[in-house]
Amino acid sequence: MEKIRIRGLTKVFPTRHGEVAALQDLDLAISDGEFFVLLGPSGCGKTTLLRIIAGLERQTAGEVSIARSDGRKRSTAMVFQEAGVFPWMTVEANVGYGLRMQGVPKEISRRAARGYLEKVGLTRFARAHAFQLSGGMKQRVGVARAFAADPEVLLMDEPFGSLDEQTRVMLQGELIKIWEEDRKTVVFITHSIDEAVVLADRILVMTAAPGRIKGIVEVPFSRPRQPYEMRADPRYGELTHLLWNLLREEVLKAWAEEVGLDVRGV
Amino acid sequence: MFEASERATDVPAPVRRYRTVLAEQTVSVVSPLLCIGLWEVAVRVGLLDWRFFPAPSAILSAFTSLLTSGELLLHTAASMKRVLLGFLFGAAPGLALGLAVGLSRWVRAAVNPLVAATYPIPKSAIVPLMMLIFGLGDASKIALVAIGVFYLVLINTAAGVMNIEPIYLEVGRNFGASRLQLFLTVALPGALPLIFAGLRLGMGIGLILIVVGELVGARNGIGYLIWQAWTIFAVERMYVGLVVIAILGWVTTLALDAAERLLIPWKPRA
Repeated sequence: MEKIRIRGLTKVFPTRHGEVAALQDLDLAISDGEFFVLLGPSGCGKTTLLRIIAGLERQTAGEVSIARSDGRKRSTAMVFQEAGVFPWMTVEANVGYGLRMQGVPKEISRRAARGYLEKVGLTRFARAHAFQLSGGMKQRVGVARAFAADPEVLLMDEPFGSLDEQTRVMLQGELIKIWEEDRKTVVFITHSIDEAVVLADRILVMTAAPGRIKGIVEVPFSRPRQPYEMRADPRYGELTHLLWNLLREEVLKAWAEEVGLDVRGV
Repeated sequence: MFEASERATDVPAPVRRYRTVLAEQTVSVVSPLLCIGLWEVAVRVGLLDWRFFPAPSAILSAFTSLLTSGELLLHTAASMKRVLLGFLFGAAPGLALGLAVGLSRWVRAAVNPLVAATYPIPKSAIVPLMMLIFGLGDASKIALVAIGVFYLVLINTAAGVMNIEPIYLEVGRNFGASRLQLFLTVALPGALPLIFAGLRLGMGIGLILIVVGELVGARNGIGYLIWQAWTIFAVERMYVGLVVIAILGWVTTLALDAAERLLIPWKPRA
């Protein structure tokens, strides 16, 4: 069943040097319960696409529709790159925020928050404030907050991008475990090939700006997944190689665009 | 030498840290006491002219006699009442308008030029105008303080709202907060630290303005006490007024600190 349908999506930003297209005529269908990863060079319009799905930005042309299972549910909840944990609320209030804004009674939103705090291992920090948390803990709060809001679709914009590699690997493992419990549709942005392979059911490789579809790759690993063992599997190496092949040209293009160099020989 | 350094390492680190803190606090207490002592001695041996710099002991005796006669309490209460009412009448509209300016570009466009044009006028320059409009009673002093507080709270509140990281507003919108919810859960708490900065500055200017307001055309208050002491050349009383104003400044700072700790528990503190 289709959960997200995107048709002819185009986003053009006006700049001082004329208009710049971030997305060009994008068509895409994401299934219900799918973990969908967007992989692409920086500046390829991944974040723009996610923000349009989230309703934080308006497209220039085309349409995005999300299939509703329940009229009362929010269509999306986002895990932001910089976590965005409100410093003025306790960790628990942060996690329960989405439900509270939807008018869910306090007792119920509290219980949901407690449940997800336990899943991300932050029960002890329920009464803490953001300044008392490490970067990894803040991202855990961001993940718990999005899950607790119980939307139709979860959006994640490089949530682990600013973390050190060890913390990042730990959080990927936790995310897989939580997600595999109820398999809500996820659209996840990353520029890490490893992260894409470990998490995704399907990976969309995007072209350098304007963002188009370069290729879509199915990840053959079954669920529940063990990322630690996956990385030792020969298919992991093949997949990584395939993705890097797709990506390389686009990364070089984006790089040439940025520094204004001719890198055709590289 | 060798022995001494060896002995120092025997002392555990927390104890050493505690001793350092204790030594620091001792210095902080001893230094002002020492200055007062030197002042006293300088006056007594004739190094300082007692007519301009009365000895601390003389100021203290003037203080106690003013206190026991009830006069001092009367003046302090009169000033406090004016400052607090002026603070309230200035801070409340300053806060409301500041939030509106921070949240709405239209309000900002309308209010900014007015504030930019009138804020630089020294508030002491409008004392005669205040007396003209509000008379010689309490109202003119309260209005003067209110105007001073109003600008500082307005400017800081607006800056507080505009400086909220955009990510927090996006989180609010993404999680379905209505405009009112966005205001209550993001804009207001996000601006609180700068709002408090405005309240602090406002209280400071309020204490300045109340003395200025009471110097001319008042029948009581600390400013009046200082001015009257000048006219009858009771210099000790003048110093008592200065001490009381200093104490008021200190007490109001403590009160604002306590309020801030209560309202902003999320602020990291040393």
